[in-house]
Amino acid sequence: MAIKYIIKAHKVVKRYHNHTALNKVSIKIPKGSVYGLLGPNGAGKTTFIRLINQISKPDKGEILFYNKPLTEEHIQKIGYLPEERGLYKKMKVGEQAMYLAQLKGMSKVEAKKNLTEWFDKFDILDWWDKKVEDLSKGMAQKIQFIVTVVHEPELLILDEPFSGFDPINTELIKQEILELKKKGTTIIFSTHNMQSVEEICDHITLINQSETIVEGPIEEVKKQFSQNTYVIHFIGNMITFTNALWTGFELLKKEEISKTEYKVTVSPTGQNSINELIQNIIHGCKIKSVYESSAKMHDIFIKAVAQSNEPKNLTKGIKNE
Amino acid sequence: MSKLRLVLQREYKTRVKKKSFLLLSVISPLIIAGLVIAPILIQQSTFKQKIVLIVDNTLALGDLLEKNKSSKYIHYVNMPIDATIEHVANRYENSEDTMVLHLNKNFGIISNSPGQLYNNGHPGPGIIKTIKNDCFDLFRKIQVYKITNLNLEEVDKRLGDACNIQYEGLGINPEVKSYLSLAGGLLMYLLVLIYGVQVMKGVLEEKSNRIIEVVLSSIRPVKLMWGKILGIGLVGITQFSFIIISSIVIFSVIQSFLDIDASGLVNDQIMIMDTDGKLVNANIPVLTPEEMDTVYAIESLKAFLPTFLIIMPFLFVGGFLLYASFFAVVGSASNPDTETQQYILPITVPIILSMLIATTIMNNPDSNLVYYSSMFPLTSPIVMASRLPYINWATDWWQVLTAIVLLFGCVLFSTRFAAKVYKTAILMYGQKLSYRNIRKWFKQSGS
Repeated sequence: MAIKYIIKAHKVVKRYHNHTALNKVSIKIPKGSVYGLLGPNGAGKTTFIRLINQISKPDKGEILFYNKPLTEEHIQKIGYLPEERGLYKKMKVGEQAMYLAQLKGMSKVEAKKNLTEWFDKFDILDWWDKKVEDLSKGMAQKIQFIVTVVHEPELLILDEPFSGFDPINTELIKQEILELKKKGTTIIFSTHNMQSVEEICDHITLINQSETIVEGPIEEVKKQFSQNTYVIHFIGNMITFTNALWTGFELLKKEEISKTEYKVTVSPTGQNSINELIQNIIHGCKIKSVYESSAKMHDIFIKAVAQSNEPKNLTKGIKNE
Repeated sequence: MSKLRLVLQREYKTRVKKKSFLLLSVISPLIIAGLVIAPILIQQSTFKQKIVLIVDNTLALGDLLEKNKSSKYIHYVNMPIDATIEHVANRYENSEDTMVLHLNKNFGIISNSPGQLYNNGHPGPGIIKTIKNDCFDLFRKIQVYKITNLNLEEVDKRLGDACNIQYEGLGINPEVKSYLSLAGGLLMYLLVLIYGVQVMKGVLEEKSNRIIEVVLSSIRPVKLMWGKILGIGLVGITQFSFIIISSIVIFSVIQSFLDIDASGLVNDQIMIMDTDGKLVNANIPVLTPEEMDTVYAIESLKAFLPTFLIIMPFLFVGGFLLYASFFAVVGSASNPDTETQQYILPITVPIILSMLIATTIMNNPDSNLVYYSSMFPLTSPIVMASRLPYINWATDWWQVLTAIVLLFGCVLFSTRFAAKVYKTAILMYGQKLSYRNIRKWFKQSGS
């Protein structure tokens, strides 16, 4: 039977001195997915990524790679682009890329071949003999991306991969990520940029204060946080539309496209169905579209983090009293 | 290729390729050689052999001077017995390199009867003094023999033997020994300090340019640390070998360039006096004091080289690993903007102290301070390196062995300590460097 998950973390605990960085975190990362690892600063994302990379070891719990405990041989199956990334400034670009590729277990010949292909693809072959200190930040970012993926990892971990890129290069990297996904690479994507999460992730986990607070396929998460709001796009009289709201709907937002064309967001005040509203307006207005407005990742993030902080704050308050 | 080797190779290559490495390797032996050879070269380039024509009325000294005192600096020629001073002086009055020495018949007997030196050039006080000394030495020996019937050659021989006792007992010329001692200590001091600090800088560089996390996702922290320390240590050994080899080459070149026959050293420089009391040619080697020093230095270096080459690498490897691990701790625990000076100081103090002790060795090689500090691990690399020329291998061999064993025992602890702190501290940003934090990271790293 094919293995469904590339990474399975089970009740992982990591402590630093007197601070718990991860508290019984369990995450399953489906093979071939783009997995968003989200959370506020200091939530424990980097700690979790370091555990997968075997930079540090968990104090309790276990992390499995294709159902097997992590070992040194898995290192070459993982590519990691940390948020805080750098290169040896005094070294030449090619020399350095070769070194990092070989550190990932590639042979010299293999490394040279793959690197040349990537450099050619990004049209940067003439940078090979340049010193890193002569490159701009964006140029260095491209090199860092290449050395992360050059050994064709099965699992790619990208921590804020777009920081430092201009929009053109962001798009270039985004396309490369989607290309790698098509080829079957699993990608863990850690970012604060919620728009890019919506664009490329199909699963997410939200960590807050060392614990997992939301986890699942992005569509399910969105449904879970859905606020039962609808967007109606119509041509007609706004008064007619407003009169129809007596059926038990609340007008949340109104966007006037022209004098007779509107886009409105409404929410039922009770258990009413959207059908009731439509039945009431359909005689006076021409409906162009009706769709359920799904929650934005940005809002989900803020809401979930706030919710998860609430009980703790309350407990704190009680203790203080 | 193993990852440790990859890291080691990178650390090694990037440093060996640097211009500063080549400069230090080539220039330092050249400077040492330059200091030895410069006085000789200066003298040789300004040197011209002087010819001294002797008009001898003493009827004894002229012939002896020509046969016994001619050297590459002064060539004495005794003129025929019928040559007069006027005739000879007139003939050579325009020559700068030819001088005429007139010794009247009372020369050496009556004090106010000096010899006269005629010359149109600038002979300089050295030449006049040498001629005076040559005459005096010969005349003294003749006079002593005439008056006391004492053969000065015998006396000189005895004195010569007496002087040689010290030399033969200790093997190496004491003066050269002191230079070797200083050079050994200084070399070790520089290597340990320079390459120890390089380890610290290398560790800090990876941490501050943030490549450390990328590298650590491919290799375990302790392996990375070892790769770095060993790579930089190898650079040190390369530099060390470079300096030794280029020194040997340079000194060999000097030797052949000067065409000095070291076997001349064993020849007695004292003239031989035959049974009739007549001084005869003893094939005096024509070595100046500067050349003699060079020959001594080269001979002593040759004698000392095997010991040096066998023991120094142990001391360097031990000393370097010991201090490099401390420097690695400071490097990993620092942040780019951290003031590391106060934490480097406790590491550099024993190094500097060792060098201070090493400088006392040439005057007092057997002091208690030298004895103990040459075996104490924190000071032994430098002090023992400096003490090596004074080691009597028949009786003191165990001290060298003890020093090396203790040093490597200490290295086992220091490297384990460094590895523990390193693997936690290297990823800690924003935490200040303090002894408390170092202790915390050491405990935190577990086994």
